[in-house]
Amino acid sequence: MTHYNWRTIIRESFGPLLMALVFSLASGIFLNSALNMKELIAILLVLPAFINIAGDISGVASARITTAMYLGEDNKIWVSILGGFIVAFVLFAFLGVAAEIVLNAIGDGIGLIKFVSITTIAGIMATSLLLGIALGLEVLGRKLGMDPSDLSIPLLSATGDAVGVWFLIFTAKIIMGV
Amino acid sequence: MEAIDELLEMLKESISVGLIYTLVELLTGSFLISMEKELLIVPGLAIMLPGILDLRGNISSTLASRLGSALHMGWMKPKIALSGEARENIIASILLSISMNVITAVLAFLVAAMLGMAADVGKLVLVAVTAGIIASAILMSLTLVITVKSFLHGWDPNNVTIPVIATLGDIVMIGSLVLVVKIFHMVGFI
Repeated sequence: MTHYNWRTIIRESFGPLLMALVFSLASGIFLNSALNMKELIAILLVLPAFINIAGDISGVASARITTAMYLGEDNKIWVSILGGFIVAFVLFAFLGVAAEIVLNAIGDGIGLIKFVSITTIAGIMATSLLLGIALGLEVLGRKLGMDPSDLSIPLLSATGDAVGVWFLIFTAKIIMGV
Repeated sequence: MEAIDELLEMLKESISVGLIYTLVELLTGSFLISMEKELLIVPGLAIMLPGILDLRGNISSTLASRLGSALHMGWMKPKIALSGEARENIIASILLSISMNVITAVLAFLVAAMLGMAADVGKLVLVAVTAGIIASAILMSLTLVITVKSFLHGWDPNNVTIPVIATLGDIVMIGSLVLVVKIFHMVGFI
């Protein structure tokens, strides 16, 4: 008799997976709306990294804020948020530079300043919203008497992708003037 | 001063790890670019893409995590074989992959239809399921091998397998999708 049983695993996984799937359909709709853009190629190139950076920063910040709240060290909450913004700024700017180099290597770039502006501005906006959500969920979680991690980590990862895709496309449209 | 030290420590760790995965994810983005034409030709493909990638990450990470627990608890012997705990876990992951990919494709079709796009549900399901099976076969074998090998080396599989599979997952999934879409397009299925 094994500890795990494939039927049990499926029964327990189905609900959470389905919920995550519904959220990622929102990202899909945003991505679909970018298909008629001339700069589609630039967006596709940075999309996986962009989502990963935004998700990682808010996930780490959220976990750190929870720990700081438990320890009653309020100044650490602000260290985590400030740190999150600095990391976001460095990584999103680096992404713009690296992506422009890749685009130049395989064809035409869209311009270093433009690309760095798109990834950095969109990245900082997405980070602000996600960190705001993280902080709000921590406070809400405490009020409801839940461990904040149980609430904020799944909700952040579910909303993070859609927020990331939307801000990236929105900023690219404005900066590229389409 | 303590706060500044803590901030510097956080920046050092997060930025060094971040720079590495940013470069890896740019590689994933390059695969995605090679699918640009197909994203335009096959209506609904872009809508289901984030969902398919997300599922891959979730299903592989939970598989890795359960195999890690099974090894730690001694329920499973550290060898690469499709029996016992490994068998139950892999059967569940394969069935979840296939059924979830079918659901993703059908939902993407419904959304596309609501947006007034001329999507074909059969084509989306065919692409999602075929690419899903190829990627699952590769990723699940890798998960089992990496988990068992890292355990035998005395490392905690939870610390090794999940980051490795999460990073490789996107590349393998997008690679399989590109391959399947291109082949199906070439032979006229889509």
